[in-house]
Amino acid sequence: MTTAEQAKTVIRTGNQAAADGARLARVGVVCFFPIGPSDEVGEHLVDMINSGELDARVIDLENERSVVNAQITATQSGVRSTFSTNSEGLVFAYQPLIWSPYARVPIVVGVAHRSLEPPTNIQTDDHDTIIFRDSHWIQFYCENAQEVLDTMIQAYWVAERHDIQLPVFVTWPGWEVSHAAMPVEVPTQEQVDEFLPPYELLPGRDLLTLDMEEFYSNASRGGGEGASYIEQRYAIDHTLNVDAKQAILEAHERYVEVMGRGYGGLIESYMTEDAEVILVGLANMATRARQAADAMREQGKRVGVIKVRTLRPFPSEAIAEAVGNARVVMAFDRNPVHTLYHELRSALYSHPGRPAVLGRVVALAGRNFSSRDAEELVDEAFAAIDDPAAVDELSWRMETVAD
Amino acid sequence: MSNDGAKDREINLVCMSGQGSVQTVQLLARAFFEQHGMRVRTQVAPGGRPKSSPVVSYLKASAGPIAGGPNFHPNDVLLFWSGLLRIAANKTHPTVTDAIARQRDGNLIVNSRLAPNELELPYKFNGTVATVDADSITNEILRRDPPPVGVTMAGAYIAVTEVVELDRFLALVKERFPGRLGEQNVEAARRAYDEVQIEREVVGASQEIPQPRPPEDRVDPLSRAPLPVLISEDKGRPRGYRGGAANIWRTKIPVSDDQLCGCASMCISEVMCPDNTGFIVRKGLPHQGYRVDVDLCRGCGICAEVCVYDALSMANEEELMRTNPTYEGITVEPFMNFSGEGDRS
Repeated sequence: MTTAEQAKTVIRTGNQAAADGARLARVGVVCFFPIGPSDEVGEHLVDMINSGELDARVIDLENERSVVNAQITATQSGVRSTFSTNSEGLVFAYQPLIWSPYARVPIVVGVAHRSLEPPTNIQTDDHDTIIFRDSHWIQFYCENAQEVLDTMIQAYWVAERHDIQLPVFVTWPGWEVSHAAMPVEVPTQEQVDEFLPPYELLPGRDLLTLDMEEFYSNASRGGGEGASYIEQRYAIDHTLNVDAKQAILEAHERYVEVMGRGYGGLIESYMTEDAEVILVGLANMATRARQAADAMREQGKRVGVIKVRTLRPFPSEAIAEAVGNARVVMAFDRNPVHTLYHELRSALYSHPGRPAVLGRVVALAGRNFSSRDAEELVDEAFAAIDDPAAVDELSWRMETVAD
Repeated sequence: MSNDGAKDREINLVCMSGQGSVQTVQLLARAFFEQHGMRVRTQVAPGGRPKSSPVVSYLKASAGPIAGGPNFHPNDVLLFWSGLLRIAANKTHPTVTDAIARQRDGNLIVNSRLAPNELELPYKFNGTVATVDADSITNEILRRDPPPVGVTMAGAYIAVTEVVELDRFLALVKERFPGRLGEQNVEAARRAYDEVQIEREVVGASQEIPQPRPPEDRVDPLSRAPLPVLISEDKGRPRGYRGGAANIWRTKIPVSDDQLCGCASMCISEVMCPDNTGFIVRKGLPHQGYRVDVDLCRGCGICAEVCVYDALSMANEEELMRTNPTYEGITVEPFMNFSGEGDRS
């Protein structure tokens, strides 16, 4: 192998890494509508088209809703596509985004998180994709630029599998990852081609040959006898919660084989084997949690961390296994609806020895959440071991202590 | 080249949005990575708006593992605009204050026409202070206003610290900005490298370094979280703009030739103003005229560009102030409320 063909380590921001991921996945259509902090992804892809690195068409329409419709149509016509947006843009495109899982259109949408308005805010938290939790999207949360690149490529593999056919969000925190540069190993096109086959439209799903009469036949029959609405929904739910978990694990396993780099599958555990307190977070909340765990271990306190990589499907079984005999599980929720806390409570309700599950809402709209903040919260978790009634099950962390 | 280059470094670049700290910090990160093989992390605390709000870019370079997050004790601070010192001193912007006023030693490099010893450092500082007139250098070469001084400031930074090699850094600049733009940036960086004024071992005035609030001072969050208010009561302007630095950041402001102003209620400039600061005003005028809110206008010039009757032109505000001691008469305080009242006509 010559030097030119080897994977290169270069400085990349999260947005650049996302664009690299889409390029290596050989997207044929780049959908674009600007909104910070996601818009850089499209800009980088257009640069790649101009420099000849990428052979793709750009579709830029009047708003995010039209752009997502275009992405769905491109995908239904057999072309792999990419689009990145966030917050208000994502909410604007709500209708076609909700449409895509139920039409089984395997689009991949990148999201560099940004808080929802009002008040006007361009900083970051998870709320913009959390609101899609109940819509049968697969959702990946990435911690750094390297993971964004790797997950982007895996996302196409999972979404387009003929037994999955569901849309995927690949998300990363705005600014803190999207605009943060770090050394990223960019795989070669050969490596990615070995992992990711070309997009192949499921037989009978071609938009141009779709039987519209059959497609719209449910409209008059509703949920009654002979219609397939409830059966379709069952199939989608089963696909998301059972088949997709297997597919994500398989994609991860195969990716590790080809690239030699991985993120644990559905969850990434850190020192959970003997832990009394386990911290759970999405994306870079797990980074803070690991720093806190390291500091607490030095004091002899047994703290572990679980990074949840996919919010949907929620990896209940994997989390229960990693939690083991831990006494307290604490969620760092970066959204005002404390979703992770509720998900963990549901997942661990029937777990033997049922640990106390605590929720802490932190770091909304880019508020600083230092590892010392995390350490103070861990102290609260240890207090809950001795006396669960003395500690709030759910509370918000607003003040911050600098590192 | 100095051996300091391979030591761990934390660098804060503070600018107003549009000046280029995000590009610059990524170029510097590449330089550290490629010249010393160091691990690097950059992070950005964005301003709220595309122009006229402060942006802090952080860079960490280390031989060992790095965690993310802001640099509270930076080795080097680069200020792309000298007015940021005032913001840090007044503590009006917590991110800027943390990025600047917590630096106790190391190198402070400021975009200013003043010599280093003429700068007023409102906080305790023992280290090297350097100044460079990056605005003039960049404006002369790139001919853009306001000037994007990022690469120029990096040139001064390399002259002061010598942590990376200038020529190899400039090669990265050319790669990032191909063609004429790259050449111009390289020229600006070289001039800054030559012209920077350095004063070592400055001792700044002593002032309390801002510390995080101790836990006992913490207040009930509910008392600080009023319902969102879109119009503040005192001046009737959108709250989001409060504390913005638009008025100190702009260099130009639209001036209306009232004799030409002729669109009555269908003023396209009023519609196109991105900050909703421009209005047709009739009260107290013989005919009518276009006026802007001096606190909100950021001097983008769109109104002058789109004006159908060419009644608007962009004037240099500093000159206006100099030539016209009663300058405040040029613009008027607008009314902005949604009740329909006010002196609009």
